[in-house]
Amino acid sequence: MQTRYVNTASSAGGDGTTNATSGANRAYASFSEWEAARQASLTEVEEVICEGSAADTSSHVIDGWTTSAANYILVRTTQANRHNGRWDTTKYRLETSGIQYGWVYEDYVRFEGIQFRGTSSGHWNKEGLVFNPGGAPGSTDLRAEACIAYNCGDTSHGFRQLGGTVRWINCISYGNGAAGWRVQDVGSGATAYFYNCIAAANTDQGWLFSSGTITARNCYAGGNTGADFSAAPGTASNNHSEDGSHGTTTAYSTSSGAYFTNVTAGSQNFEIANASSALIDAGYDLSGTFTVDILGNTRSGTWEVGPFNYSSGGGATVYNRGIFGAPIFRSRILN
Amino acid sequence: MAILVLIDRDATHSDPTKDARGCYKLGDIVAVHDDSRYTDGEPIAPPWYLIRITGVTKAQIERLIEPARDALDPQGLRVLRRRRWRLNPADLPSGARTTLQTTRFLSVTATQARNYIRDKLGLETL
Repeated sequence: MQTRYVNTASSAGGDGTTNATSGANRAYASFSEWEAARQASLTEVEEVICEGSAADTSSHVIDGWTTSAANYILVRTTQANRHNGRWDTTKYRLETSGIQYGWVYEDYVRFEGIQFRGTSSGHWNKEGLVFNPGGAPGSTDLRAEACIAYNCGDTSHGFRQLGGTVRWINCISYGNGAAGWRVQDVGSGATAYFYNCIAAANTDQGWLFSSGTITARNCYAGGNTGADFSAAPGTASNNHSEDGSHGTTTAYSTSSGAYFTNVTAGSQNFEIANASSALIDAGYDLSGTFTVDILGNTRSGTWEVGPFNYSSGGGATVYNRGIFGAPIFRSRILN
Repeated sequence: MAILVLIDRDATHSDPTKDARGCYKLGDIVAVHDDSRYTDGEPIAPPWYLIRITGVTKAQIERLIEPARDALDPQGLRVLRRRRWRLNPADLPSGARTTLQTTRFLSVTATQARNYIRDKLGLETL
């Protein structure tokens, strides 16, 4: 594995080999600088660790590489520099204003803990993240885990998939100008897996399934202007929606149904706030695929629906991890 | 003032479509930053050239990182080249070229820069 760093506090001209913000080995100043400097035919995993409280406004197009199942691109934040399960302007985020600035053309790319927002108005195609691989579903492996798309503007979806096989795990897409997610097969097939995701408060559908092969488990959609689910996924279980378009009908509310912490537009917090939530212990066990929630907490017992594991006693539990990755203490977020 | 971040080499791909659409080429403008994102004297590592342009803001020249799109595409979205605009060091006057290639940094006015930032589509001059 080769590791490079992006830090929005760094100055331009670094070689990206450390996360320092000065010196010859300083981090790349933006995502696009990492991508330009490193695009190649990969012979090992290329990992890029991103941080910085200032928005990264560069394009996050990934194109011109050769990737494979063994030699893929991994774009991630560390837990310390990661969002807290909702749009967080103090943590690393990609906020781009250009048309198609969030398009990923490669077949083997993974995003972990990244926030996305397409900010511009006046044109669609300002999605937070679009997977548009060249390969068919059987020859692609694309993943988004613990990612957020928020407030993508002017008739733009939060996330979009135009082909390939994509696993969306513990992701949230909310407050966008069109759908939370749109999946389309544009000719070479599209296979999507949605596990423990939320699509909420979008100006159009929560999930818009235009075509493709869809699996969805433990997902929730509510507060969307259009249908929460445009159609039932081909393979589905343990999903909930406010409008009953698919799965169990569960209110998008702080005082009933989902019992989210906050559903006020612009201040949404989808952590489960009450033991009466219909989402608690209502999930399908996916521990053969992943074992943590959006905050990195281990899921145990019967799973919840949605990206947050619920812990009784109030608030959400966040593991603060030491430098070797093991938890050093556990704290509760009290709302 | 703004900083242009240029790449000093060609990336290539065996697939001609990906090579054209996705690979950066020498002189492509990879990023545009506020002047605050570089302090004189900081070391500049390959593959970067940095050019400070005085008299403009980042917002005024941010379009220099746009891709070259197919004007015949009905939606105007199809990308032909990773970047539409480039500044080829070989086009610079010899003194400026030597400075850039030696120090990887050059400071110019907007008027000076305008003469050397070229539209790959050949449709527009700055």
